[in-house]
Amino acid sequence: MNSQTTSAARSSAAPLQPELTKRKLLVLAWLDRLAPVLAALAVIGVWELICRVFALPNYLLPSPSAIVTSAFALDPGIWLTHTWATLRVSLGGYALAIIIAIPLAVLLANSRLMSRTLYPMLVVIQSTPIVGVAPIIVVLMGAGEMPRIFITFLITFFPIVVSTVTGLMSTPEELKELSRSLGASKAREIRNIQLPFAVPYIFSALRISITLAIIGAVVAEFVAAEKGLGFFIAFSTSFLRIPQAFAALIVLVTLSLLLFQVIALVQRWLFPWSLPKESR
Amino acid sequence: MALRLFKHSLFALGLLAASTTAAFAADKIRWMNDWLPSGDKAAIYLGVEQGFFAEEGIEVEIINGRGSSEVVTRLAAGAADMGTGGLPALLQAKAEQTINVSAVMSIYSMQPDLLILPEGSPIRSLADVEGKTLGTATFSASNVIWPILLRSNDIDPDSVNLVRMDPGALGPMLAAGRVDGTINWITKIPSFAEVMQEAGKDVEVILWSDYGLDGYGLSVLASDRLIQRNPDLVERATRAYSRALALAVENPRLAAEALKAHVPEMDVELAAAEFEASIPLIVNDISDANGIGTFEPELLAKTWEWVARSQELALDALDPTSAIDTRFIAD
Amino acid sequence: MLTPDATIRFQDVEQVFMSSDGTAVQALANVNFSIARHEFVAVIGPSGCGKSTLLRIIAGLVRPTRGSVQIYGLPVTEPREEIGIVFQRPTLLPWLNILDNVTFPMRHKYGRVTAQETERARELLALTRLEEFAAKRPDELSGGMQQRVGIARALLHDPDILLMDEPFSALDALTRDEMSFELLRIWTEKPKTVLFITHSIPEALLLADRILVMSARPGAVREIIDVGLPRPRTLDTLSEKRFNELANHIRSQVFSRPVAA
Repeated sequence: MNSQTTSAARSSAAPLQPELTKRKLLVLAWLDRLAPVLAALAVIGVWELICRVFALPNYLLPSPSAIVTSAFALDPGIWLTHTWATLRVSLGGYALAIIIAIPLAVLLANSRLMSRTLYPMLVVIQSTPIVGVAPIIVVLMGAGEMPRIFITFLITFFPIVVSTVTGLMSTPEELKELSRSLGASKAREIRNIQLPFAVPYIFSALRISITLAIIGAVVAEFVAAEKGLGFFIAFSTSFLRIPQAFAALIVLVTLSLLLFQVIALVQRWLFPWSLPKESR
Repeated sequence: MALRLFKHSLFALGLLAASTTAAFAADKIRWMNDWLPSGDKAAIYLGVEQGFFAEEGIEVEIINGRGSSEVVTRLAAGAADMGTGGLPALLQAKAEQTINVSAVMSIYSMQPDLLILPEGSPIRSLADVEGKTLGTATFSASNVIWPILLRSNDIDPDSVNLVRMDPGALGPMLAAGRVDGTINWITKIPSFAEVMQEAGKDVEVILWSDYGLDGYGLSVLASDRLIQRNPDLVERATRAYSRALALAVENPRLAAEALKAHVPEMDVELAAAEFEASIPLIVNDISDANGIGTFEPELLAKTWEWVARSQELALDALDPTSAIDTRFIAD
Repeated sequence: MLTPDATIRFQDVEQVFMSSDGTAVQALANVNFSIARHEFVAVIGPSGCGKSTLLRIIAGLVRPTRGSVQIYGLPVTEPREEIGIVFQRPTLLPWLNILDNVTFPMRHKYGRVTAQETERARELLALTRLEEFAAKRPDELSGGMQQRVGIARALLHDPDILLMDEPFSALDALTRDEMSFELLRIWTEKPKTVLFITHSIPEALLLADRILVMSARPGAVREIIDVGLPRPRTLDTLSEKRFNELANHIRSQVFSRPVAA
């Protein structure tokens, strides 16, 4: 998208100004790089303007300035406590999902019986609206972090299972035959061939799932929590403090984006070959 | 023989160890509030902050519930030990299934339900709601009482357009004039007033208790398991809570500060105002006559009657006195 | 033809598969032939004639329903050491460089690669003219180069028998011819018993000592042709009279009807 705009800009600018200097090109390159930031700033500006021009009250749509003000009105320690609580639950549920989903996917991909018996069950779990069963999970698992981690796990693990299975199944049949013709064990085949082949699939699922993990943690915190950004949003709206709730939403979105980037970096760092050639 | 002796001495040792730990370690209770932290829940925090529970040898862990029925379920499931919840929710649950939870102390001897209206609303009395649009929280317990209250005042419930929504949307909807009024608890007046202020309006209220809704509301609940296993602990906890409640009534600001110590994002002024708004439910003619915390049989019967009517249950489906345990209230 | 000292020997081999709807499909019927040591045999036939099944039976990946297959006089019951396989697709491992791809079979089987094996892999890369690509990733190589890596990988443990399942069919026509001569060069340098499955009649004629022509449904050996073209074979071989005669003959056999000469 970005590169397209630039090339369009350049190709239209170049014939008109053959003497286009290096300096101008540099400016254009910077504009290209800053484009997403500028776009975001523009949206915020328009948002602020609308709120002011129409004198929208905070309970309808808080202005960006009202959100920022309410965010800074609170002790940073409070933000840290809630963000940390949500992060812990998200990462806990996410880790649990990875630990369970990947071995499960290996089982499903390598056993027709297992995939025939377990897949329908997994689909049932996935089709169950977690928000609906969350209160039951909380009653069953009691107070503390476990029910929240479990709810996050439930929301997170299915995409990882499905994507990993697809990845494992994408292993070329020839390589499985090669492995068999070498007399190598199934375990070696899974470890040396199937799992590496699934890496790109696993990572695309991991990127989706990390954002789902945040959503899962927030859903769980809506249902039962004494801390966390989900709790904080419920708490703020219960006092009709809408700007404060928006500020928490922004923290959540930022957290989501950051974690998404972290997963992408981990992939680039550990498995550069699993990325398309041009994005390495 | 030697083995037996060994076993006996081990047993004795174990007993000794158990008794010493019991003497030194505080009893722990998991206390569940019926909603997110707010000013009207401040008494329990005040009890903890003032050391009333510590003096009774109790360590308290406070958990937030999402409604009275959740408190009842969690207590029954053993996921919490004591807590606060509406007596009607407990009566309803007990009438429908075996729920091993009892009310050990009353907090509100009047019902907190009311209508919050913008200043100068054409709704001057309950009868004026005909043809109007009212907002209510989707899962509010008030929703079940509402039609009964209207019928007992000869108003057709179908004549009111009741819109259900998230509790957080009620204030904005009222301020934006999308609804003519909202169904709430008395404790929500301060935060609604805050939002309405932004719209340049003030709030008015119509109390349901003025139109015949009477009975016990918020009460201290305990799991029967705890009552049976350690009645002494329930008694001590109830005593500590009563002290805290009395002090909170006397000094709502102190209670609000105690709440803030636990929930740092709380606004002390607002929390104090919320608790103050709930005082008439705690201290009133009824409590003056019977004492705070008691369950007066006639009012208890009325509480049950409202529940039975709203849930279409037979009046003999439950003996309301079986839902309460009055041993723990100091006379 | 059925010499007792044959490298590979098929005796009355029959293969029946169960298809997904439960009906039995006969893939091979009454297959008899043998291949001598260091002989280059091509197998040609229409799709679905069981060519690949033939190869997989030799590799010990599929057990025949009836009959027996022997390698050096011993019945094949499981995959054996002396076989190397080259597949239709190069199927390299994208996370390994070219050198590691060549040594992968050893790493996979034993968990480690000896210095000697690495040295041998380098020799094979030299043989397949890929030395300077040792450190590259598979996706940095062309299709033909990738397939040469596949051949080097199959040769790593110096197998006596090389099974090739349409190894050049995914390549473009020019690369294909080039690869054929390349393979001949490698085979001349390192003689092997080769079973080469192909769809291409000129390819079979250019490479093989003998050609097994198969018919479909059920797959059976229709004819075994002695190519008899002189070696070394070059581009000139393609224009020899016998080459064209044999090509027409095989074509008529494969399509079961005469083709205008």
